[in-house]
This record gives sequence, structure tokens and C-alpha cells, in this order.
Amino acid sequence: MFSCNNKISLRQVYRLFVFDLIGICTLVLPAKLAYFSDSDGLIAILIGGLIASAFLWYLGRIVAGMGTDLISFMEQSVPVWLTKIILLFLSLLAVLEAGYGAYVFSDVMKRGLIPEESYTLILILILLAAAYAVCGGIESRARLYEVLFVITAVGLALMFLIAASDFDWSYVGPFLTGDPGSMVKGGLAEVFCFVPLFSVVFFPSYIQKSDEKKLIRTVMAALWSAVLVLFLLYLLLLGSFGSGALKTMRYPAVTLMTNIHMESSFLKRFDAFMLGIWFFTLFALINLYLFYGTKLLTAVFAPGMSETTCENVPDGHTRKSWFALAAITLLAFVVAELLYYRHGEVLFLNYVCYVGMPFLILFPGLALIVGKARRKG
Amino acid sequence: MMHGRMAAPKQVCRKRIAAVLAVLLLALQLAGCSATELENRCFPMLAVADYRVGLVEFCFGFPVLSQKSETDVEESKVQAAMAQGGDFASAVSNYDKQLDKKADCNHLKVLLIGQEMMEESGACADMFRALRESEQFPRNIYVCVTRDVAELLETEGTLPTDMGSYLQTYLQNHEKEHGGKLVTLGSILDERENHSKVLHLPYLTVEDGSILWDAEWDLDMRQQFFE
Amino acid sequence: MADKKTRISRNIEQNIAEYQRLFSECADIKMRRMALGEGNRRECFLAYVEVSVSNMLLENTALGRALAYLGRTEDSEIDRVLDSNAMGISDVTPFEYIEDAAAGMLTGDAILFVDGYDKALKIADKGYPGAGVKEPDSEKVIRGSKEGFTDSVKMNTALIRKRIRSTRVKVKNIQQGLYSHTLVNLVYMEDLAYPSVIEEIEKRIGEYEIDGVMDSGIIEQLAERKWYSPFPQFQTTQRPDRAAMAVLEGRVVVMSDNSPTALILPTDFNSFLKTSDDYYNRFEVATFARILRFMASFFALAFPALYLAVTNFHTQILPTPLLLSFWEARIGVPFPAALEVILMELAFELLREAGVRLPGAMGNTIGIVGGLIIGQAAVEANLVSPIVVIVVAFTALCSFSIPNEEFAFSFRILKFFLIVMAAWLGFFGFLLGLLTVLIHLCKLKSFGIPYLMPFVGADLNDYQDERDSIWRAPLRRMTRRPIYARRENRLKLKKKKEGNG
Repeated sequence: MFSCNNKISLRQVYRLFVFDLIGICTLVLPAKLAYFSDSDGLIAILIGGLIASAFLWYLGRIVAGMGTDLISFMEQSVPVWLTKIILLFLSLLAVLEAGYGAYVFSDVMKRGLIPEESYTLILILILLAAAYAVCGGIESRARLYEVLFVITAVGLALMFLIAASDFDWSYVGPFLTGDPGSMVKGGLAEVFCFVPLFSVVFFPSYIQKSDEKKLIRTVMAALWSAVLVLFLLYLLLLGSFGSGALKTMRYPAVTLMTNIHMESSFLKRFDAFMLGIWFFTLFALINLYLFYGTKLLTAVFAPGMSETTCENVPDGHTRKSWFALAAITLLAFVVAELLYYRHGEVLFLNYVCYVGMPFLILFPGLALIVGKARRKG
Repeated sequence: MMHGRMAAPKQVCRKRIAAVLAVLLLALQLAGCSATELENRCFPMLAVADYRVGLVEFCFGFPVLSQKSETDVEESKVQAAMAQGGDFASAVSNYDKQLDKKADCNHLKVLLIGQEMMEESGACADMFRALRESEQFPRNIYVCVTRDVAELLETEGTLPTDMGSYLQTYLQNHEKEHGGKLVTLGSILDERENHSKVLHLPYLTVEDGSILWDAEWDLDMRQQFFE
Repeated sequence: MADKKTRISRNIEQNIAEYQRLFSECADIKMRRMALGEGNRRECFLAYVEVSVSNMLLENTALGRALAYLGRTEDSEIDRVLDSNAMGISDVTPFEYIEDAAAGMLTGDAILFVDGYDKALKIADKGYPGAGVKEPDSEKVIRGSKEGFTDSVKMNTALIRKRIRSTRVKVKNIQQGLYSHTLVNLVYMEDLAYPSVIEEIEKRIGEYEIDGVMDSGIIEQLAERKWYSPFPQFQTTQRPDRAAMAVLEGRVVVMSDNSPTALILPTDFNSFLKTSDDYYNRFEVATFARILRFMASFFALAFPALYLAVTNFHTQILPTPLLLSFWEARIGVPFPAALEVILMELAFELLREAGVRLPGAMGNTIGIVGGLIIGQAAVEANLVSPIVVIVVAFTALCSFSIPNEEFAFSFRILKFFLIVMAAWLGFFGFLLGLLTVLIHLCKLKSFGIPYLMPFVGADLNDYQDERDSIWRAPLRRMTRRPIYARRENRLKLKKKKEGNG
């Protein structure tokens, strides 16, 4: 019949990636950009966009070289023991990212919506919801973001329009006063928020053969859409708060929403509603990492297993994938708890900078080289 | 003859549901009763801070509800005297202790600061630091200064609405005459970090029982008074 | 459970004895011995359900004419006449087994046994009593046909056939119900409906063995995959024009005997918010109505929860005068806001149930009595605040705007879930509840069609389905069938070239 093939369209790919990218970067990044680069943060955003584009181009070359998705290629071409180690490490990365996403989500919701409620409660609930969304497979995830895309885009546009009324140009500038290194630092901070781009290596199995050539172009469009949103938001934040205040704020976008009000409007403040934008975008991020973490862990223990969740296949998930999902979710919970109660954010960011990101850059190339060498041999 | 799934996946399904329910039940234990009913809250429209005899003084101004039939208006009235403390945070805390309802500051409109408080830079800096850390007051409330807080508050009886709402409307209506944008708490807190502007706070006086805005109190944020 | 069948004997006494054994202690089954043929020497035996056959056996009924004809026929010719159906009646079915004859009689026709003839004949007569064609109770339209389905599946099939006079309309018969032997018809367009969908529904209907099928609702529940979902996976209708439109879209209509409700599949979220007169009215009218219904469906689900979230957790959203008004209204009310809302919602659901169950005018009155008097009294006694009454009433109004009753019911159920979430965790709880519902909807499919079509996967049909969703394009722009129809036959409207009559 229809749509029981675990494949999604390019339109859905675009929306998926936009959601995955704008969550963390619009929330956490502006303060860091202000810290590194002040008003030059605008330039840093563009630099970061270029670096991320290069990274995406590199991943595109990897995907083209593999001819299939990463897991299938490794299962076919790389020694089994090496495949398991790498996939295990990738799942660990996914757990850490999911944990971080869940930590930011729960922290934002606690601060913005229900300050008197328990952080752990919010965390448990959102992880359960994300795990529930994972059960539907890639098709159901894609549909969810397809529906939410318009609502979120309209919300963001509304927020920008309303916030623009309080814009103060005197806060914007001067430009190019700091050293170039600070702008590059800001750009790199942006690239670290674009780690979800790596998931493009899993996508060949999720799209039609005819769409494979357009995949990287679509993801590139999503990347630059996210960069544009970030650029506009940072400009607004600069104009609303100034870089000095901006660097001291934890979640400046949330603070922006508490500031804005329309005198002639029926509703007094919109901050609670606007937080819905980050509710869904951060949820998308957590969902992304739980999904791939489960997929990777399942591939470690049950290689070659079909991922179908179609209604025609009774019980599309085997027991192993359910255990993998439960394990990933539990580990993400632990990570998020540690980040909150043990203030592990700095440690996490150092890990991403010095271990996670370098690994994601180096290993696909190595895997391709090893795999091709083995095939030739 | 029943077609369908075999017994083992059914048991697995039941186990999954049981696991999720167990987690939810556990999560429920973490839930406090954080929802405060509307009738157990009070909604201050005005916050007043002053400095006298080496102590910070603080109080809220509340709206007066209209007399509706079957409504126990007495129950809704808030009676609390101005509280004092060694610093702003303790003054607010002492004031809160007098209230029998939880103060919901989401509808606060104006922060009125006494001149002596503004002249006492240490106390003033401490106040803004506490406001920044606690995030208790909304950022978009207007900030103004007055020579004598008590004199200003005495005129409330002659006003058509509560002092906070009155001052908000008054300031908005006279904003253009004074050629500038009204200063909000958010702009003060931002300028504490930016150090780029001189903020012109409305300076209110009382003449013949009426509130007048005929001057500004200049707050030079370019100097680091409020670190 | 294959019972052994008894062949019909040429000896009528054996047949009579067997038939009387089968229908022993059945006072409503009439059995009459008769004598046919010119010399009245051929014994025959007529059996029927009492009210399903005309007592007068008038000449103008098929049975009457058959008996009259046989009465004039020579004894020796009777077998030939019966074999070649030379009586001039179309609706005659021969049976070789007693049990089949009994089952045939139980469909409302008469059974004739003739001595010396080894078959029994089922001859149609007036059939079981049933309600005639009248306007459906639900799905009222301002513009459009006022005909509704009846209890007879044959009548219902004919009502569709009346609207689509094409040889491509196919009707498949399935019998369901071990004891009820209920006739179920599948109606579809041969070149439009996907064969896989037809096979799938046939398979699902045949999956279960049930003792009796009293209504299409039983088939619906047994054939659904996600039976635990509050959202219906079959669309229901009592309107023949709606069903005919569905057939022309490439969908399959399932009709069960004794049920005026037809099932349409596949379906999606969007279909439940459309009405027949959306297509009979101009596109501006239809678009306005659709937007209103979509908004109503959202408020039917979310309004009470939003009220709780805003008043208990996020008072900053409301303007100050409104908030103070709410504050004043709540003073003296003994219940927490969440309990107040739940109690009022439950009270309203009770009123609605009572209104449906009570006959005629009393049902209308209870709505007025309950809504105005009880609600007013509760407010004056300070049991509830007037705001909550307004919230509940508005929510009810919104749920009434949803055209499909089963679909509206899912919102009524889920509303309580969102109320609990919002009461527990404010706007976060509301969003979480909404997200959970959304995730469920994203996973839901109806015969392979994603439930949220065309809001998802719109590119599967080149964005044509979006023209008939929250807005309706002008009719001359709606040139293609929706995604249910086979890909090669999606064109449904085109302008004739000039000169081609």
C-alpha cells in the first residue's frame, strides 16, 4: 500500500533538519557568541555557517563514496569488531547529546514555565515522550515535524516582528574590533551546535534512490535556514540587550520573550506561548539522538536487523531494539541528571570540542578508506 | 479461531506498558503541588522601595476590586505595612511574611524608588543585583523615582485606579512630551552590563494632591555604580 | 465449525420433517402445506418468517404469481418449469441443502419445497420490516440531498448506485456473523480503488468469527488495527451522497445489513472535518466553514486546559482587568479550579447523554433545563465560577461543530487528558499532552494512508490534496482526485474543448 517503506521525502528531510538544528543553537549559542565576539558574533555566525557547510560537503562525499548508509557500509565492509567498537562509541555520543538536550530542555522549561516543579519530573516526562516518538520510526518523526514546522515558523516570525519594535541600533556594533580568533571561536561554537548534521550519513536508507543526489543539497538548505534564523535572532538580541548584557544571560531568547509585549494586544505577554517553539525544537533534538542511539545500539547487538515499523509487519520492533531504546533513554536520563546536579556542562562542552567533534570528522573518512581497501583486497 | 499476534509478544507488550506506568507513578511522587489557586494569590501592581535610617523599606501596592454581588471583597483585600530590612532581599522577604496570599508579580507595572534609595548607591546596587538574580519582577515594568514615597502613596485615595495602574497609564501618556523612551527594569539591568548609556528615569512629585512628572533622574550607567 | 449439511430429498415428507426439526419451537416461522399443479396433485410446502411475507399472497407479489403460475401448470411440467425458472420471476434462488434453504428463508424471503423436486426455491417477497429512506439524524446539511441510508443493505447499495450509474461500480458480498449471517457489501470503483486496499479490508473482515453483527460498528472495531486509539480509523456516514463521493475518490464503502451507517476507508484527519455541502457551496463559504471547524476542533480539545494553565500557572498572559475579573469570580468557590472544570465538564457530558437518550421534546428540554437553570443555580450558589461555565459551554459548542460524531467523541475524551496535564503542570503539561496526541496521530494510519494527510506527505500527490484541506480551492481548480485513487486515474475534472458538445 502506501508509505510502509520506512522512507521519507526530501521536504520532510528539510523540515527534520531545520528542527534538529535550530533548537540548541538559538537557545544556548547567542550568549556564547556574545562572550566570544560581541557584535562580531554576526560575522562569527556566517563563519560558522561556512565551516558547517564544509563539514556537510565532506559528509556528502563520504555518503557518495559509501553508496549506502553508514551502518550498512560498515557491516558490509569493515571488520566486525571494529564496527562494533565504532558503533558503540557513536551510541555513547548519541547518549551524551541526548542527555545534554534533555538537560537544556528541562532547565528551560523549569525556568520559563514551571519554576516550582521538580527538574527530574520534567526530565522523565520529556524522555518518555521522546521514547514514544522513537517507536514510530523515521516516518512518524518526519510527519511530526512536518506538522509542527509551520506552527513553529509562524511563532518565530511573530516573535521577531514583535521584538523588532524594541530594537535599539545603538547596541549593534562596532564591528571588527576584536581579533579574528574570537570570531572563529564563535563560529566553531556554532558548528558544535550543528552536530545533528552528522545524521546525514544514516539517511541513504531513509530516502528514495532517486532523491539521493539531492540529499546534501536539501540538508544544506536546512543548514542555511537555521543559520539565517540564528543570524536574525542574534541581531535582535544584540539590539534588545546589548552584547554586555547578552553574554551574562543563560537563555537570552527566553529573556527576549519576557520583554516583548504589545500594548494593543488582548494578551499581555506571550512568553509562555513562545516557549512552545523551544519545547518542540528541543524535543526534536532529544528525539533525534534517542532515535539514532537506539539504531546504533541495536546494530551493535543485532546487526542486519530490519527497522520496519510498518503496520503490516506484526511487531516491527524486536525485543533487542526495545531494550536498546530503554537503555539509551535511561543513560540519557543519567547524563541529564549529572549535568544538572553536578554542573557538568563545562565537562560536556570540552568533550564535544576535543573528543566528540574530532571523532565525527575523522572516523567516517577512515571507515570509508578501510572499507574500500577491504573491498579491493 | 482467533487470528492475530501470538502470546509472547502480548506479554512483552504488557511488560512495556507496566514499565512505563511504573516510571510515571514514580514521577508522580516527584510532583509537588506547585499550582497555586487564583484566589490564593494577590496581584501587586506597584512595588515601592525606599531607604530610611540605614534600612531598606519595601512594600507592594494592590488593586482595589469593585464591589460585585455575592463576592466577598473583604476576603480579597491585602493588608500589609511597609517592611524593613538590612538589604533589599530581606526587606522583600519580611514583607512577604506579612502576606496571607502568594504575591504574583506577573502584573507588576511600576517600580517606584525613593530618592534616598537612589542616592544610597550601595543599597541601590544591591537592589538591582537582587532583582537580577531573583528574576522576581518582570523586566518590562517601568522604573521611576520620587522625592517622598509616603507623600506620593497618600494620593492613591484620590485616584480612579490603584497607584500602579495609574502610574503606568500616566507615564505612557506623557512619554512623548519628555522626548524619550520610558525606562524599564530590563533596560537598567542590561545597562549594568553594557555601560553605554545615561538613563533618564521619570522623577515624580506631588503638587496640590496631584502627581506630576516634571523632571528626570539621570542614571549614568557608563560609570560602574552598580557592580 | 463445518456442520454437516442435509441434502434436500425428492420426498417432501423428509424435507418437512427436517425443516420442522430445525425450526421447532419457533412460533414466528410459518409452514404451510399446499397442493400445486393442474390436478392439485403435487404437494408443496411453503415456509417463511411471519411478517416478511405478504399474508394475502396477492397475485402482484412474486410469490403470489409464482404459486399461481405453478397452480396452473401440469403436474408433469412442474419440474421443468422450476429448473428453467420459467415462472417469469427474476429473484428466485435454488438451494440444494436444507440448511442453506433455512438461511435463505431467514433473510426474509419464502422457501418453497415441491414433492419430487430435489431443490428448494427462495422466492423474494416484501422482506423484513425496515425504516424507509429519511433524512439522517446526524450530518444535517443546508444544501444537498436529504436522503439517508436505511437498515437494508440492498436499499443502501441502490442509493449509491442511483448516484453513480456506471458499470465500474462494483459491489462485493461478504457474509459475517456465525448466527446472524449478516450481509456486508463492499462498494468501490473498479479502476479507482487500489486492489490492495480491497484485499486488506476483506482480509480484516474475515479475520474474526463472531456470533452476530448487529451494526457496522462491530465490523469497524474488529477491522481496526489500532483498536486502542481514540481516533476512528474508518469514516462513518449516513449520507448516500457522501458515500458516493467517497467511491468516486477511489475509496471503499463498507455497508452492513441492519445498519444505516456506512464505513468509508481509507480515511484521514481531514476527511472528518469535511461535510457534503462544502462541495455544493461556493469556495469562500466552504473555506470559511472549514477554518471555523478546524479552529473549533482545536478549542474543543484545548480550551479548558488552556484556561487552567493560564489561571493557575501563567497569569502573565492575561490582561490585568481580565485577570482581576477571574480572581474576583473565584473568591468563595470551594473547589480548586481543576476540579471545578472537571466537574462541570462531566456534568455537561451527563446532560448530553441524557439529552440523547430521552425521547423527542424531553431531550430538547433537558438541554435548556440543564444548561441554563442548573448552570445558573450552580453559579449563584458559588459552587462554580461563571468563567468556568462559559469555558465549558464554549468548548461544548466547539465540539458540536465537528461534523462527525465519532471523531468529535475522541476530542471529548482527550480533552480530559489535557485538562489533567494542564492542571498538573500548566502550559508545559498542556504542550506535553498535545505532543503525545500529535505523536499518536503521526503514527496512525488508515490502510496505509497517514492519518494526518494532507498536512503530511502532501508532495505524494503533488500538493493537490492541500487544495481540499483547511481551505477549499475553487471547484474548477480541484482537477485531481485525492491520494486514495490509483495514481494513473487521478484526473477527475477537465474542461471540454470547444466544439465538443
